[in-house]
Amino acid sequence: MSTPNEEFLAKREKLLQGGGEARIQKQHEKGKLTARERLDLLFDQGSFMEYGLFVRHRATEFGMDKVDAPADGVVTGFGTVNGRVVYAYAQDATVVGGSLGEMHGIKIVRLMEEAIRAGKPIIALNDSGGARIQEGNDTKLYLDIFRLNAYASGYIPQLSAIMGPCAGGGAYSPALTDFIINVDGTSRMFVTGPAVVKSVTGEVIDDEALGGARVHSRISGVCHRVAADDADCIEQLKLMLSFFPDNCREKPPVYRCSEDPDKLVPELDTIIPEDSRKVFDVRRVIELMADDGFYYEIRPEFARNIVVALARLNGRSVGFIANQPLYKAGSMDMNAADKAAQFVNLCDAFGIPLVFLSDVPGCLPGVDQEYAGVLRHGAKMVYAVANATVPKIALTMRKMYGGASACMCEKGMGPDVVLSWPTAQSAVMGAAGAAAIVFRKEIAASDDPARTRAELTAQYEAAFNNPYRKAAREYTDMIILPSETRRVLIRCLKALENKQVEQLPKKHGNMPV
Amino acid sequence: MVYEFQHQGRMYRLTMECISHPEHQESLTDILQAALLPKAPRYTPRPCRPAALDGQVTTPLPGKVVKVWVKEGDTVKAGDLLVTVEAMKMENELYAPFDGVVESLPVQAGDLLRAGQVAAVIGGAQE
Repeated sequence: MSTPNEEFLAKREKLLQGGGEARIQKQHEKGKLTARERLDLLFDQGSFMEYGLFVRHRATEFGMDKVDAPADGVVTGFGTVNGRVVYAYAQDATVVGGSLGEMHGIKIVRLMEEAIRAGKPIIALNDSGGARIQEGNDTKLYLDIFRLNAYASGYIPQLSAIMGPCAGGGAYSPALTDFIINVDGTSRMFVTGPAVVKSVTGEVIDDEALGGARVHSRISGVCHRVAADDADCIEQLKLMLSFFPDNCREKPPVYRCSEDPDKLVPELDTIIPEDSRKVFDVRRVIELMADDGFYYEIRPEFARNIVVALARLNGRSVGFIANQPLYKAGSMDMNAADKAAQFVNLCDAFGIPLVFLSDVPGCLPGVDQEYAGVLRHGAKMVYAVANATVPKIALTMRKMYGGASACMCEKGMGPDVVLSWPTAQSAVMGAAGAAAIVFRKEIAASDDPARTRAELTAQYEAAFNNPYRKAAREYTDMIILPSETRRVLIRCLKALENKQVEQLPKKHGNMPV
Repeated sequence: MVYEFQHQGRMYRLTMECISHPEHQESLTDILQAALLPKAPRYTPRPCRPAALDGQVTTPLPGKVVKVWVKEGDTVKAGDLLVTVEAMKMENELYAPFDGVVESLPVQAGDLLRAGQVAAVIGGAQE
């Protein structure tokens, strides 16, 4: 006769095996870890507290009465990540394919509700075949998850990892969260899979080409990062978490900065090419300014004409938004605006100050851009930048032309401090185009229109291609040497650390979409 | 900085100076607070599987070819400059996506390109 304690331990031991040895081996053969192995990597050793291990489904139809589903295919609970409490759920692909049935959904909802009450981040490790079809309408628990995702948005950080299939209803929950990371080779994310696509549209495509990690990192822009494997994925989730507070009422964590906050960065003085038509890599600028030269780029493979990255200045989280001259001349377009708008909203929600680094020749002209609604997309970024109440510092490195200046938080958008490097130039448009309009008559009347055009272009250029004109009108607060930028940013952000902005007593704005 | 304080009836004087930067002034509290902060986590990106590489080098934005740096048959390395396209007041550079040979070069200086138009084709991608 076993004692009640022994009986409990034996039951628990069995449940902890999930779908059993054979299915675990199959999971490993696919290059995937099990749900529990993933949570072991995520949480500090021995810190995980599991809820609902003994939950059982109550479906009986379509053979479900014979299906034993330990923990109903999802492991839920909380633990500590580098000492901070974090809630997490991991779908267990070894149990009914990690599919979402009634009890599976109830467990996730219960966990999310507690995370929201506790004001702690929530991490979702997705690996699920989707809705458990045998349970029919009871899979509507998805909607409760979406509602809670939306409800918690901007209150607690919500991070999602796609570590296997994530289809249909299951794919909308990650899409509602702050950060999505897809594991290369094993993640599959789509609203409808290849079989349905083929039956409806006739398009033949495999699941990697339809919803693989690279599709979402390069083409759709749905995911924010790609991970090489499960361990890399968990490491990136922990890193991402380190930039954020537990909830929006707290300040982001501060880390030790081993470098002198006053140090100068001489390499920045020569980073802008002498020929203003030549390109440079703006990621090097961020690397040179950030603590320990470390930054974490978000959506690095999507809309590469803008770089958005999290980094630290004097140990404090900062979000950089930078035009990238290396791609599409750093011009603004729809995807760049969408990418930056989401990043600005994310940083603003969690009290992370914004630093804008500008070298933008303007918005990309084109019929396709206008038809596809570049205004609608550009408005998202302008709206996000205007409404952000965190400290905002704008730095013009070189070009600042046209409407893109609103996206890059120039005076008028409510920046706290506007900086310019001596290489800054700004006008409503480029000198050649401007001269052609302003001096149309003079050029037409000239004996040598080409020479007159060149002379007048040079005249217009001399007037605007410098930072002094803006500084004279107080559109720039400080002209600084590039080498001084890091310490200027650190000092200004220190001054602004308790910035407060009064908000209008409205319910919420009508954000352009 | 000089701190004078009383502790259990005894008077103390604590003098603190920065040896490396004698002009630097910072309070003891700030220094102790900063020293107790956790070390910032870092992350070194891990390489993912090589993406299916496309030898077709296209211009991402419309513009004018100002210089072609290679000729058909040239051997190139990943990242080599192939064609410069002037657009948006900038000289945009198109690079070789991988080591290979220039198979075809359908553009020359002065050509106007549409967005997405092929400027060079690199062959010989090795998986």
